[in-house]
Amino acid sequence: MNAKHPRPTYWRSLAELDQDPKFQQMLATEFPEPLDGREMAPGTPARRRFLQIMGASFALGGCRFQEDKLLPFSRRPEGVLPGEPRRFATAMELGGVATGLVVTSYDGRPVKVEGSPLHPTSGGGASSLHQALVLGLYDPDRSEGITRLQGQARVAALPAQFEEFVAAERPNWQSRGSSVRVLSSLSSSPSLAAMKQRFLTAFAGAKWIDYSAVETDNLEAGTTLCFGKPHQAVYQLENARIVLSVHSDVASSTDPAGIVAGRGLARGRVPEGQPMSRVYAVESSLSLIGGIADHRLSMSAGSAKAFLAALDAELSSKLGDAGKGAQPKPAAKFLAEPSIAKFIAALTQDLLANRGAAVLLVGSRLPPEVQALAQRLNVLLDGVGRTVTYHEVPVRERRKDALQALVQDIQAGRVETLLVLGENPVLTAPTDLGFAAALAKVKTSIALSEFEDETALLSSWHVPLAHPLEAWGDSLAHDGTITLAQPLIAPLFGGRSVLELLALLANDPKRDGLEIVRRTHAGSLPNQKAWDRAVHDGFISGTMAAPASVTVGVLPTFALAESELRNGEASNGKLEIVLAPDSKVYDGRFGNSSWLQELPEPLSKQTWGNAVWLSPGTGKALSIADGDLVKVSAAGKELTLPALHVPGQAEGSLRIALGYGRYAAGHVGGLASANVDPVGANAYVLSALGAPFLLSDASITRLDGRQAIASVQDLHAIDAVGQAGIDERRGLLLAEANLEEFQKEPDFAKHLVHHPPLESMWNDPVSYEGHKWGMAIDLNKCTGCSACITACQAENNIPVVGKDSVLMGREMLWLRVDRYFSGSPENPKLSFQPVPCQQCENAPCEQVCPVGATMHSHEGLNDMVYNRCIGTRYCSANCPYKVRRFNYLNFHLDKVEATPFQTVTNKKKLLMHMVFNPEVTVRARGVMEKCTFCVQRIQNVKIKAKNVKRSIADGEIKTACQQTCPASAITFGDLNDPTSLVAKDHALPRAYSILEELNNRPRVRYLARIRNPHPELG
Amino acid sequence: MGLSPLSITTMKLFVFPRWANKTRQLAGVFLGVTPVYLTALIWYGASPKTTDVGYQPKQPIPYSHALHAGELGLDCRYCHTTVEETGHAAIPPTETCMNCHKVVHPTSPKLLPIRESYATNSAVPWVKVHDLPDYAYFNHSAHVTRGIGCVSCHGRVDQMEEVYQHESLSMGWCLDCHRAPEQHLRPVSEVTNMSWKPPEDQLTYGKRLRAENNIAPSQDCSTCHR
Repeated sequence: MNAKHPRPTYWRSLAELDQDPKFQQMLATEFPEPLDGREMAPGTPARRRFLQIMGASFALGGCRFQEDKLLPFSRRPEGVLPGEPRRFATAMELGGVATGLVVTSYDGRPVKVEGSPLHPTSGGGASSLHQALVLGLYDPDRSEGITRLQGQARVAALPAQFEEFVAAERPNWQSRGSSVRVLSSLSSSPSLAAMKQRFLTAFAGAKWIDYSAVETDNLEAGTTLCFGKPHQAVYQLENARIVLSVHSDVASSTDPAGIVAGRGLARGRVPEGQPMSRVYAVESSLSLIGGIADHRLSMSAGSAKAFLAALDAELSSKLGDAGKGAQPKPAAKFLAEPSIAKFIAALTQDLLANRGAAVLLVGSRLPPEVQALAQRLNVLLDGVGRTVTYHEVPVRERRKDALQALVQDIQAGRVETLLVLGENPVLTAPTDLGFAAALAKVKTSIALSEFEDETALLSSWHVPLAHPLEAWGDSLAHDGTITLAQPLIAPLFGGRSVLELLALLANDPKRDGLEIVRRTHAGSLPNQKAWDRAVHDGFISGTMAAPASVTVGVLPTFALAESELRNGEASNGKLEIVLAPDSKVYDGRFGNSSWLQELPEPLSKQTWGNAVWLSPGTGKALSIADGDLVKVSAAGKELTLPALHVPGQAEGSLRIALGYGRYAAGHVGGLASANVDPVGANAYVLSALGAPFLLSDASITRLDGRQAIASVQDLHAIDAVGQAGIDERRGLLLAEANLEEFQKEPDFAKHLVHHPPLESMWNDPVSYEGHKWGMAIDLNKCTGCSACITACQAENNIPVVGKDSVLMGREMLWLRVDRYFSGSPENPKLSFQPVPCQQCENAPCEQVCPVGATMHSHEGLNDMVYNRCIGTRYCSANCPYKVRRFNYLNFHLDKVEATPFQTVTNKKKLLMHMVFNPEVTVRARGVMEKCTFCVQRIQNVKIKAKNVKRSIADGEIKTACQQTCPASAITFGDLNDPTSLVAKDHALPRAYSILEELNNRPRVRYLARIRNPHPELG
Repeated sequence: MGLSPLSITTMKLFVFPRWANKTRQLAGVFLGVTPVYLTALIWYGASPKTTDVGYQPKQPIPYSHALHAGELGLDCRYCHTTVEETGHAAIPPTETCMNCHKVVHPTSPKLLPIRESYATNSAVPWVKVHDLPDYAYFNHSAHVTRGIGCVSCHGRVDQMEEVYQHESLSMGWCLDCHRAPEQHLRPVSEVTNMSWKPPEDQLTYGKRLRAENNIAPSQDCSTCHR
């Protein structure tokens, strides 16, 4: 074996690059011990208990297991086939934007969420947050009923008691409406807007505040500055040849339009037959779009204004638009640095050469001036109608002003009743606002929330909120399409939706969610047929917002503060902090979801918690090592958390994820009342009213002590010999080339490794007649967003193992997304590579199993037979891809307290059973498991097709990871059918297999990553 | 320093009595027989043929398949409507019973639970007879649409007063048929006919049906285990 092409050196983590002791330990033991040397025992294994129960059950009932009951319907509803899945369109709103979903339900029990393929914006894609919805639905920590504050204690109350209270209070609210305040989730729901009007009419003088824990004001303020009125920008990234992202989180699950953006970006990244887009990213921290980018510049967030002003000056002069509000070239020294100047020159050239096909995306955390500049340039570059459209949105009071007024009113005693609808401001509001103290002063506070959370605990009433899968609703998609949400199940804990609670308070004649939503759309959906159609599709077709025509006003020359003129300085007191919503727990609301907590963060690969990201250079300058406990302080506020060195982080810039450190989330995310420590640290304490998410002049100090960061980035390392092999091969695992090289030699990926002709020692046991399943993963499309991981977890009943087990390398996720860096740690290039089981035709795992628990199927799958497995783990040791996972403990069954010998009666445990996919075995301790290519989906489609003697259409079988992928990076199908998408992908010149030289003949092929650099930047 | 001589009484403690010589021969027999006996005991005792065949739990209603399917000649699919479309041959809703029992024996005390279920919209708690392990996935539609009769797995239900398990439903039993389905194949139109007889020798006939309908049952693990 030798490599023909010079390959870049790839590394997985800084620890590996520097070969530090932590990594050496990881190498020496395939399954490492926790760093503090503790003996591992979450959930004590109870072998004796097993024997006791065995003995007892033999004595009592012979060998027959417990009696099972079959409970048929009394009257079976039309169209219901017991045990047969049904699919319903619904939606989830996050950050005021709806995503159309389809939920699969077995016998009335929703178990799996997908993106709705019909919906104009989701187009079949869904993020991890959507995928984890079902786990949240069956969360036993959800509040079970209404509670009220009596003295210092919370006591349960009956719904009737609450309704009586409302009826008694209503006259007061009517007569003194000005003492009523509503703090509601930022929402685009037409029904909520109508309900708001009813509420404000019923209680004249009441005030309504749209609240969001994450930044939403800047874009609206920016478009107002630029166009005179607030607008929503809708990007068509598939039409863009040049994309510039400035600190944007586009394609991330936290971006309300992340799914559309991911798909659009991927469509522009096809190197065959069409011009490929070029992506530039300027950012302070690694991001998903930074990973896709052909050119990435690390720059602190504070410098964005000067950067864009410089770009504006440059472009305007070249476009002959200099007089009309263009910015003068800022006097910032960093712009003259050769690397940045070159970057701007190349970018300017590209943008000018691609007028009408260029687009600028700006992160929502950047101030309105920066937003205005970006939109001005989008218009100037003829993007309107091609790469971006705008539609008007209603004028809203800015969050800062609204919150300040609210707290002032409370302090002045002008507020007697406060409703908090679906938000958690005690946790998420800026600390200098003093919201918690103010809340205690309000006579009647009603918190509507899914959990008895931080806000609910301090409110005089807490009413359980219906889960999104339990309630009727409507909301606007990113493009303005009215999207309908229908319930999949009746509220499990008697929860009410926001609409229903408001209807009760305002004494609306319609109290039921369905009736309220129907009333809103009575005009556009006049009859039952139209309504049924809309509910079936999940949206009202043709309601996309009409694009507005915009004219750019003359922008003033923006003043630049001293901190905005320098590009980050790694000196204490001059650091900047970026507080970002987390791609897993968002603003904290998903903090009790164990799937999301254990999902590796796409860029840092950290599970279970947050850390302050800093660049290796800044760490060195301030003598802060990876994993050190540090104190971060800004404007007199402090936070203690571990530090994480992240390559590509801008010098002098720190990033902390929001949404962690909760004390009333639940038994997963942290619950003070049950002595469950919070996961991570609460970064909201740093947030200030004036500067909520972008803080300057911060400092960081090292404390004594370290904290283990449960990162999966170095897991599955082998040993020193293995490491040498990995180092040698890594450049061959990731085939990457520049567009120019690719066009010269399209099949370069196939020539990376030279090996003698591969011959097997024995004849193939099977001929692969009939079907031959295969998968292709396009590394050029993959954004690394990790939605596939959660989709796989939901589909395949994959257990959560907890932080301790992750630290020991015992994570169970079947699909991992490997992240590699190449280049310098200061500004690395990123590569993602999802690795499922490769379903080798000549599989090493099959050859070593002593009990035939992993067998080769005639369709080429490596079948895993759990009931045969005795847990020798030979297969895992022999797997070169390290995709096999072992159940060290009874992760699932212990959690739900299930044994084959006794019936579970605990209601909360039974509730946790409900999330299991009935099509997949729930594995027990001592069993090996791995990706099956979603064999249950294959079998179910095969049976259905064979029953009526038809053949299976290409694309009819979709694996869970493929189905959810917003970028459509994964194709799956029958390789025996040359017209199938996957066969075509496998036949592409840039298709290659990993570790092909081992003669495993994997069935997964990767499509090589092609970068499209600017010739000047190389 | 030498050892002091032991007294005869003390010495006796260390000497086997004479009858112990016989145990040597007995032990040989015992050691030879016990493993065979235990193996046989577990082999047959724990086999699904012993533990599961004949399992006949008490049902909440004395429903007689012999009467309904046998004497009255109701087709299996009158009640088990989903068998050709889905994995389960679903237990019928109470409504199905009431189709007839609104007029037939409308006041019978034996049918009280049915009327109760119908009136209160609650389920009749039938007891599951054929219970596969949780890691095995069986699909009824895949079998009946290929021409495997109900009787092949469930026995002569039309002669059962109360349903019991007729076959072992063990993996070996499944594979016997997956390896040689011709033993059980019949025309699809006859799957619910309990007393169907092949027009010629079953093996010859089955082989012909197998070729005609392209029946190729898979023996891959993932066919049933997921």
